[in-house]
Amino acid sequence: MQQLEDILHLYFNHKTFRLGQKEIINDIIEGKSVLATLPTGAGKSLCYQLPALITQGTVIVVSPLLSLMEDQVKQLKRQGHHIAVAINSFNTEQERQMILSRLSQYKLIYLSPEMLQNQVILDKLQKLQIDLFVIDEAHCISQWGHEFRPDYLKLNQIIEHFNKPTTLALTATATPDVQQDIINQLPAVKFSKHIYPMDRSNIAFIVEHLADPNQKDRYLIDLFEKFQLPSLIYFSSKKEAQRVAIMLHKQFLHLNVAYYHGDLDSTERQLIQQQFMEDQLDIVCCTSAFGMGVDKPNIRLIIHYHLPTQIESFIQEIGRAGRDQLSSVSITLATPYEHRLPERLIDSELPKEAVVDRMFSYLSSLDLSIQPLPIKDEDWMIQLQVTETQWRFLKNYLINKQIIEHNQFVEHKNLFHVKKELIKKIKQRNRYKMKKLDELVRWLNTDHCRRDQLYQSFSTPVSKLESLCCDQCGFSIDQWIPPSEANMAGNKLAKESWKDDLKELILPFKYRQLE
Amino acid sequence: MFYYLILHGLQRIEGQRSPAAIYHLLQGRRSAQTIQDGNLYQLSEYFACYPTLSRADFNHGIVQLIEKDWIKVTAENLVYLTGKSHSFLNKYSQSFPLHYLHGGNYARAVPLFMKRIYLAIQTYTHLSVNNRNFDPIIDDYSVQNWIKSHYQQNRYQLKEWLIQLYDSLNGFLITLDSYSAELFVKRITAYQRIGATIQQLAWQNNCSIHDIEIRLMAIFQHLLFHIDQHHLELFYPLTDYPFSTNVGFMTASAQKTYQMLKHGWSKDNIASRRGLRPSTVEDHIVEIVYADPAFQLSAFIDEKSIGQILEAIKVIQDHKLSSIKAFLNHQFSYFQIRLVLARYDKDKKKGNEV
Ligand SMILES: [Zn+2]
Repeated sequence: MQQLEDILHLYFNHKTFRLGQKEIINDIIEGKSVLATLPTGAGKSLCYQLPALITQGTVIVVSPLLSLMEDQVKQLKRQGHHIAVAINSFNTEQERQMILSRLSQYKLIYLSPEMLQNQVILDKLQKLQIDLFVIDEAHCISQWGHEFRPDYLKLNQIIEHFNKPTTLALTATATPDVQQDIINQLPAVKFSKHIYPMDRSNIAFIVEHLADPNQKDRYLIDLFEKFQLPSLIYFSSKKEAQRVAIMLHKQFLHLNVAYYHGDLDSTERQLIQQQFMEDQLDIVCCTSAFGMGVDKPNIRLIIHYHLPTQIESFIQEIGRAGRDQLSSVSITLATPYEHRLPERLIDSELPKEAVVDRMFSYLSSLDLSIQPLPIKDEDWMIQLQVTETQWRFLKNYLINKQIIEHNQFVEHKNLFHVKKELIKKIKQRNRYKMKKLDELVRWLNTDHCRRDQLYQSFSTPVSKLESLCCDQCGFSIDQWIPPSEANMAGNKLAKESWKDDLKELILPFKYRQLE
Repeated sequence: MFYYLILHGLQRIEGQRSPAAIYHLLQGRRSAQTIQDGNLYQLSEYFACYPTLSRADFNHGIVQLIEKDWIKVTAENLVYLTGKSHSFLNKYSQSFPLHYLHGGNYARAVPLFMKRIYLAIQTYTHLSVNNRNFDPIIDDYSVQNWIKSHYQQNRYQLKEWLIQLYDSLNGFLITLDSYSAELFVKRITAYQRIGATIQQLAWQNNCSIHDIEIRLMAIFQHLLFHIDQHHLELFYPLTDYPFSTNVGFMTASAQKTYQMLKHGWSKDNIASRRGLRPSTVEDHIVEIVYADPAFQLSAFIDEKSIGQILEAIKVIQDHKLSSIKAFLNHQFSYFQIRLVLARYDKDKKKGNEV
């Protein structure tokens, strides 16, 4: 067999593996299942893309990141590999039929978690020779994780359904208890663990304490007067992202600013992502919807205008800075009330006790012994006034407790007990999330090294830096000298006259700019 | 342009309809009522020129107009323009290229045409310099599949295709006002540059997102019109050409009624067979009259009655159904009057064209 390095060079045009990749791939090829934590930007996807190219059968990847999925399919196509396909809710019925009819032609099949509920698709997949089953963002299976996905609870059953193929569980962020939870939730798999440090030594940390939210805008203006660098500003609110982008646009007419959130139409989102990648945009004000598929090497500043709900999300977001390994800075803007917005988000994530009450009192009023009651999701969401996430959480719980079978409510002897348990569970999870938020809030107020504190709970090694570590270790933004390559957007703006512009755009083979 | 277009529309329906009629028209609601409004008030060129306009944004615009004293809305929900907006409309009557808008069939062809032309330019400019390293800016799978098959047919003459495209676009853009031409070019994504977002274009030009959306729509409709006029065959595969037949411009339900009428079913039989209300079938028939100029009215109204209704319209100079009906002492049903209006309006238009 060829050396892995040769294959890497041939298919991906890299000369060497990054930390951990080779060890993980070797285990997989030997048929060992792997649980791996690799830092964001460390090239997680290569760990299954490379095996997909050299194995006989199919590699299935379950990933909750729709855009990432699409991006990887596109990226592989660009590299000339027409072997990947994504099955998710974006497909039209027609596309899905087409994909399913030629399923065996693909080496790499990406699935979104809700497709795990689709028996037709699962049955089709089962007929394939599955050489590797990949669970991307594996922390989503953990109910303690920051992005719990109820659909992931079906994974163990599916792995058994597929005759226990070699399994790779990947995540960028997992504390020891989340790692244990992943292992517990997948008893069908015998994992060997590959845990790699998460610390990114080229990112310096600053928390800027401000007396009230109004000062955040002022801070940004002062900051961008000094530094004009590719920057991402994270918000928890679409409206605020939009407002601040407009404010910055007016303040810095020579800079190119955009806002990005899930409500924009898909072409606009594409344009913004690609402009940012091509250095046509300087500052993007975004929600967490941005960045999953963005592998831009030279993001220098990651600013948190709002706080995420826990350290894991925070680490994921700052991980987008400095993929070129050059010096970058994470700045978090904090006011004394900073915990309120994430608290509200946590509070709305799970159904309220009153909703659970209402649902169970309705269920107990039905006589299901004669006939089960089929379930229409939309009707229940309206009836209970819950969000889709909340409803899926409820439904999964009821499936586990055998109150829902084959998408119908069936008779159950001990509804009261189940209800009590559910309410207890919701309370427990809310408490846990509040505790996680509290960790992040405490991190804002620590007087120890921020790098140490941030990675403390992950029990992975942390670098000791002489300089450019964090504000607690004496770093301040005023002394920062960013890497000199300032590839700012200004130089790529459209020409004054549309006539020249049109000519150069449409006929690049005649009027190629000197590069 | 957004406010100008709304005011322009409101002026035509002044005192006769509610502001929502203009919303449905701009948004392109495919109902008999909206299609009829477009024809009655000579607004059909603006049909579906802003399909993504949300009701909330439109209502916000109307509230703005009321607050700034541009329009008044009565308790019966009828609109009246103030002197301020009449002089605004006069003053700026030449400033906005409303004549780039050509109505239903063109409007409906634009969204797909836009996606295809943007993706074709991005793809072919990259391939023309042997660069395959790009992400399609259009996510839509069906458009991506389309480009694959289009590429198969043109792969050996990509550069020629681009040169022809350049010549045609240049020839079209010089007929536009320079602002519109610039907008069109800035939006293009090609090998050397990712195109501008709507928001960026709005910022650069100190106008609203709505203004940009409508102007881009107008430019593209005008491009389709230009393609039609000059028989630019290069573009035909990018559109669902020919787009100037009208039958597709009916609701699916009306098309069914149309088929049944052709097979000799009566109006009432269609209603009972399809379980529709008779008034619904009547709506369909009015739609059909708009869409099919050759459709015979004789089953529903005789020649003499048509003449009487036409005469009445001429005398009272009013297109309001109730006024016409009252003037003719309620001899005719609303349905019959609507039929005549639908046909009469068409004829009048034809007369204009000749
Ligand atoms: Zn430190």
